[in-house]
Amino acid sequence: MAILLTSFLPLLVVVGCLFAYELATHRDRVQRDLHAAADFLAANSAPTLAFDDAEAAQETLATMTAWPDLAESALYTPDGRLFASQVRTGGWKLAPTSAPVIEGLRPGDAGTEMVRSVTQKGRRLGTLYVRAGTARLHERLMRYTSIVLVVSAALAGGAFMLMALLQRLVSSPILRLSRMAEAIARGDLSARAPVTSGDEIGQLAGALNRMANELSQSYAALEARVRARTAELAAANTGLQAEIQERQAAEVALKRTAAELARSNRDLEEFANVASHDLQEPLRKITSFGDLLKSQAGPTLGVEARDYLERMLNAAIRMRRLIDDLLIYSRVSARSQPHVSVDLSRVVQGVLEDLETALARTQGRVEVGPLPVLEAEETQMRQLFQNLISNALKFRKADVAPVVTVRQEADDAVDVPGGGEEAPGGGWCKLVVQDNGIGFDEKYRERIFGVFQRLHTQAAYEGSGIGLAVCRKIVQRHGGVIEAHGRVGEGATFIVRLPLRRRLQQKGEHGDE
Amino acid sequence: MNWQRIGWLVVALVLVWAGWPARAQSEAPEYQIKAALLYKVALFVEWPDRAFESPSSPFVVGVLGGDPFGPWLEQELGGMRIGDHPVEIRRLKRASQGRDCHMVFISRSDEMRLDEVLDELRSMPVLTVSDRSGFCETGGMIGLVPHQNHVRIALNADSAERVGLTISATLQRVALSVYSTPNKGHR
Repeated sequence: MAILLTSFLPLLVVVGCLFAYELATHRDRVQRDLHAAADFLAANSAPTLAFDDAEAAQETLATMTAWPDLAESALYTPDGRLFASQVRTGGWKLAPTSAPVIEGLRPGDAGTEMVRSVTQKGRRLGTLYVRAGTARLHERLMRYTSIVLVVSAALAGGAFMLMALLQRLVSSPILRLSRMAEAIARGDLSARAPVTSGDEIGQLAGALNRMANELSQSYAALEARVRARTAELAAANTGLQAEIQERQAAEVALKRTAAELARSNRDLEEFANVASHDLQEPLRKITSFGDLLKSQAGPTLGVEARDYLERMLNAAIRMRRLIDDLLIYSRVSARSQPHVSVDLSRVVQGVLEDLETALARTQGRVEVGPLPVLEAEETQMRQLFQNLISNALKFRKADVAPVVTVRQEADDAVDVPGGGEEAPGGGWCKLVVQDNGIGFDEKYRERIFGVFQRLHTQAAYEGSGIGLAVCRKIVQRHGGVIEAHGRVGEGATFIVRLPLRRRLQQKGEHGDE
Repeated sequence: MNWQRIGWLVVALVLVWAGWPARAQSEAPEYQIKAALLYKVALFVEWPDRAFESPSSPFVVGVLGGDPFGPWLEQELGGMRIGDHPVEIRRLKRASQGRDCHMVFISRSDEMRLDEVLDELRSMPVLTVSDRSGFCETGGMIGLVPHQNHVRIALNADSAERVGLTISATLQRVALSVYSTPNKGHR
């Protein structure tokens, strides 16, 4: 269609121009011809008018066929009578029957008319009328039109044949290629286009076929890789599942072990508690009967016997203290009081009041810095600081008045218990209890927290050796840590880290050491 | 006796009726037509410039021999112009007087002297016209010939050309016959 249009447009433009040119030049040509014909006819018809020879006049007018535009001519005598007239064959007879008065050229309905007088040597012999018809213009325009029609038909035919040819050469192969591409797009990788020609379309078809080949090959390779990868993944998955099962089994075992451990721990503590209570009864009997024996039979006994009795009573007293301490230790785990907001400054003040006599005796001094308020069991906090401060006073240097500092420090420790777990609420507090006492060897820093572990003889420093064990127990029950630093002769430092808010779940309710 | 007078009247009418046809044929007197023809012929003939003293000098028409025109010559040609030249009519006594004319009509009455006249005018640009029969054959230029109750012209362009006159080619179209006499009878 576009081909037809592009072919017809120039043709139409050319023909339009031709028409316009023809119309424009027709007038000029007609006027020129009319003048020439009128001159000729007037000169030649002059004697026929003069000698009244109508026959010759008729013959003269007949020569107007030499001007193809002339359609009609007529001669009139000077008195206005129609003398002779000629009409081109097939034309209309439009000449007036009497001589027209107005001379000159004027356009009429049926063409341009011209009227002029016929004179010879100034003598008027008659009037000539000539008319140029539009027949010739029409004929020419008709000829153009028919040319246009013929050329149009030829163009249409040519365009149709060209289209048919193009369709056969280009469109249908391209359509086949497009169908093949669509088939490939749908996933049919086996689609191929027949390569029939060696031109661009054939090359395109070849390229498309190669592309399809490569596509199917790479698709196959991809599928193979996917299958291999899937198999690998399945294998890995099986392995993982096995591992998960193992881990689950291990976890179950661990839980069972932990539960067993907790139970045995509980059993142990219960046993300790029960044992302590049950042990106190015979011990009280030993003490009271020992005292009775000493007061009633004392004087009768020999010195040696009295010394034995005294040693027995001392041992009983020491044993009782051991049991008491053991009870305290076991109570730390067994009894659970609700956590409340505890002002450590007030707690330490209370402890110092209790230790007033010991301080006076040793002429010691306890410096207390600002301490935080935290959520804890108040009695256990009191126990903690009682133990730490009294411990510091106890292991003083013989010749130096003990000075104990209790303070809070900015917590620089990264390695907090719980593996860097953020304490719920307000973080951690670092409490330091430092003394100027005898200190200890750094290698015993763990051992000193053991139950009944002593670094010194009973004789040098009295005590059951359970105080720091209780401290560690308390701190652990509050989710904190305690550590000790020291050197022999240079004092000891105990660092306690406690969470300011109580942890939601207390790990190791019954101790996990 | 009354019938006699009516009878004479009828005879007179018949005679009058019979006498008309000659006039009725051409509707106008013969020499009126011929006088008009003289003028019309002059329209289609070109004279050389030397034939006129000036552009407005008179065009002289001479009648040689007995004048057959009567009043018609003056009526048809008097006051007329050939181009810019006013027409002047002369009655000629001798042929030599024709040398001063532009056109000479030789009447039938002068028949005996035709050769002489033509010879006299041969070297001058004078158009010779006559209604004698065989005028053009004998070397005359324009002949007025009766033809089917009309007066037509005959012409001899060679004779005119020989004295420097040009008879319009278009005139030949209306001429009844055209003669060609190269040197015929004039050595």
